[in-house]
Amino acid sequence: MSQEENYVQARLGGGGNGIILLQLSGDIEMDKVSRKEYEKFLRRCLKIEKELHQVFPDIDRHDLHLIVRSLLIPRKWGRKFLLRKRGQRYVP
Amino acid sequence: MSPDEVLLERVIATLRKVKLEAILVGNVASVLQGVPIMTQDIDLFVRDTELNRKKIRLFAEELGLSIFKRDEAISEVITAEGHELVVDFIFRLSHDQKFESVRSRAKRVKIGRHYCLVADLEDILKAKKAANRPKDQAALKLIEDTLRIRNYLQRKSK
Repeated sequence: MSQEENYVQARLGGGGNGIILLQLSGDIEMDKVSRKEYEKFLRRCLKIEKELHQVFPDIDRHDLHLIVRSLLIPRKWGRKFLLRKRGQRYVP
Repeated sequence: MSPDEVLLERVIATLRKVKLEAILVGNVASVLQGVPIMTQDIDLFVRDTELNRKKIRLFAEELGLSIFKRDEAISEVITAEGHELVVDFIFRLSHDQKFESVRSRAKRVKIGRHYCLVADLEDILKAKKAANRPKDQAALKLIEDTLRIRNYLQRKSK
């Protein structure tokens, strides 16, 4: 397994189940986006991130991932951006 | 569409219904342009006129929101809020960001069946820098980094 594939697996919870994937994928309605589809998207993000990291080494890798993901995420997958107060906590 | 986009579409449809011209600014406008942040409210930039203040009250009535009155006569923000939704109507961004100039740079973004005007990321950044609130500091860095990456990717694709 290549380093990139390892990274994808780590992002997906080490080949774990859909529950972990759901937590990591955040704003994606998983009943509409298959794991295969998401992995394809994630690989594309990681490829671009790799290049961008060379150009912008000062940007934190995690921030870089979130930015690239937000820029590339297909519109039809939907976006969550509002936090709601539930008791003492704010939740998406 | 996500539940948040459905809510935003309702806001846009209601703005159209009460004929209130508004530009989406703040964190929601940033998210729609790829900045990875979340927020608690929807910020809308409007012209400060008596008619618009009336339209804001109509907007609140339509959506069942309460108007949160600071001192409305002098305040630069009117908040319309309910259990699931908080909308801030902002009359002033920074001192040199006039409504017309922000509108000229804004993008038309489709949300569901409706279009809304979304302020350019550079304008959002400028407004946040001018406001200089502690809560904006984390968002500022993310907006700046997103702009750098977006501009690089745009240049590369040409």
